[in-house]
Amino acid sequence: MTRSTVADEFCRLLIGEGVAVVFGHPGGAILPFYDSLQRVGAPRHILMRHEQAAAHAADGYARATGRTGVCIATSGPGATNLVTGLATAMMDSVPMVAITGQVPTSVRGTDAFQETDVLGVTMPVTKHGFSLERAADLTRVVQEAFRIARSGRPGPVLIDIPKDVQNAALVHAEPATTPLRRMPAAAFDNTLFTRILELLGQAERPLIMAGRGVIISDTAPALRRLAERADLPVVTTLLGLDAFPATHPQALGMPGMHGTVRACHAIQRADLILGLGLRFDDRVTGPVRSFAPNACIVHIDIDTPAAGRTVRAALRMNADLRAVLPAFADAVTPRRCAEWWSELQAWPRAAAPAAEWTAPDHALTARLTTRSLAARIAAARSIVVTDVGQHQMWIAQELRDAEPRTHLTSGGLGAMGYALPAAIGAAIACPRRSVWVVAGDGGFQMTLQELATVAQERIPLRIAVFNNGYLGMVRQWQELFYDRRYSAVELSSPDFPCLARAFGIPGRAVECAGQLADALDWAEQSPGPVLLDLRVAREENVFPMVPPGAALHEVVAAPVVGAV
Amino acid sequence: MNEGLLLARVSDRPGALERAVGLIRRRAFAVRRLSISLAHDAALELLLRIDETHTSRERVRQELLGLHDVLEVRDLGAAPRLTRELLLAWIKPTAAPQAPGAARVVAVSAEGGCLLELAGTPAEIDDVLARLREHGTVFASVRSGEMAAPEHHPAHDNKGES
Repeated sequence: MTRSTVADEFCRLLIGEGVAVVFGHPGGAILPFYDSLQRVGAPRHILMRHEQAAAHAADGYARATGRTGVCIATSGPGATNLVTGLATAMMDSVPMVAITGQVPTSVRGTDAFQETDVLGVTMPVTKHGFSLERAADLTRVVQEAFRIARSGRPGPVLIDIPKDVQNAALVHAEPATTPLRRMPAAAFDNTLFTRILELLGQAERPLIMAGRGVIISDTAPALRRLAERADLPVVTTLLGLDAFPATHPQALGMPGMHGTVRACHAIQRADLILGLGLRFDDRVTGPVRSFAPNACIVHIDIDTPAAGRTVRAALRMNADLRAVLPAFADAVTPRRCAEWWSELQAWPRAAAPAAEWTAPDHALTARLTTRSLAARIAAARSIVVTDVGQHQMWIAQELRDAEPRTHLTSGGLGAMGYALPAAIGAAIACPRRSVWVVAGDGGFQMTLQELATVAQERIPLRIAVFNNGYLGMVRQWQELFYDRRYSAVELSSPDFPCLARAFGIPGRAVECAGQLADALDWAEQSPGPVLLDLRVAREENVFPMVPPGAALHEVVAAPVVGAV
Repeated sequence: MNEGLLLARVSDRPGALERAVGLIRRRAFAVRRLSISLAHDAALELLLRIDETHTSRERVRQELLGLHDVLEVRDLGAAPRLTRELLLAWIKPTAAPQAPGAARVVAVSAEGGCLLELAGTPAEIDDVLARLREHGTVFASVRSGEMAAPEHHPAHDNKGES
């Protein structure tokens, strides 16, 4: 009979933590763990074609479910390939546990084959890291890793295990000699709670800014109740777009660099901003000195250090929205803000007027494509996973009533190549939902090897590639801010439908506006996976836009179609 | 310069010190001095002198508390009285009279230098070193880094060493 090893027990502990699926790529230093995966028979393993994709897939799985995503890599290059995925999860508060193999302890520190100090490499992009040095620490380390990953502001935790420790026989667990501190749960501050309610009652131009914290805490219903009872306008950040229905009459849309004109002006005019579960990052605020000059800012977030990194809030509440948002919704005094609403309605809510989203020569504009796609996504209650760049902003602007955990994107890090692997994770997590991948031709080429994973696992993704032959967002900046001196942005691509077919995935190209509806019908009615190569206008720009360094009220609502 | 002191107690585990120092670098905190010592309970103690014209010590405190290895962060205030630093300096024997009375010679070299030992506040050590260097009498010097003690004896809050 085979003796039970640390690696065997590790698999059983993962099952105990509720892990059903892991995403990874094997290699020498993680072989004992993979042997145990096979012998224990669980969790299910999805073989990705690159470790970065494994981390993004675990991220997509976690965002779509709220559960902790798990990715696995071997030592050295396997581990270093995880870094972009870990950084993405760190910036966007995604609970994740990454498991890496390490060279045996007998050769550690000798520059052994595939040796890298992965704990050191990943330190700035993880919430915490463990090196499992003794079999006796296994249970404690695994349990602590999962607890840290999902507690407070969630994030990625790395467990590095030398190969000989994976092979070691199980021994009784021993208590830690140097325990970690448990973060104290934020206490409910009744005085502050009452003060914030008073401010909400007194403000003439109140505004809610909601971020991903609302999604993480599953408090979207409470947010809606609070907004409706107190007649509050709601701005949602890129990562909070699915926290409040975009077609709700009180939704102002996204703030910041490519936010709506109404949201940007509302922030600058507001006399009270209630910030719920957001970081007030630079893409949202613009220059901090000119952000919300008339507002008393109340910042409620579970991450204490986040309050004060950028904007200085007049009142800060370190709290889990689970505890306070329903309480605010229950306790707020119902009111109407008629004057404020009449002021807000003077500014446009839509990103582009209807007249500007069709091109006269029937060319396929990105705006038309996005709007049509967003309508289909909303109607089918699909999950949409976007990559990074122009298409990401267009989808964000056109997204309709997305339910929580159905809009996934790399917000903080802005990692191109995120969409396809993250969608794999989301689709495996939610097999009953259709999942759309929306990517640009640049980002798609960063991780398109994962089409092989899609084909092997028969994952029914619908993949839309916005193909304009440019790294579009960089080109837009070069056009607007570098006198159109295009530098290294023109992009040749393979024939995407042909490439998809090579992986065993049906694909179609869409060349003009007249072909779009039929192609979308085909994609929706296919069992999936399918790929659409959307050959959109080459030099279309994302507007509205707050120019870099400008204040939010200087938002430019320019024509959508540039040189089509 | 507007400065303040924080004392962070950090669990002595692999990577803990690196995580704390990495945080200071990553957040671009203006830390003027950093000294590390082992506490009575085997935790590491990091004493940080922060330039508060650039970084508020409350912000540093909050960020450090976001690390799971950090057990506690004490705010020692803007002007703690009980700070000390140790100086060891090889000097020319002729310079000895320029050293303050609290200094003492702890070794003499065959080449004729003498090793001066002096404990004082960091500012006092700065002054003494500057004065000695002015006269070109310092061969080499090392400083221990700053240490600070709480204003109250531990017995006052029933937290004596165990």
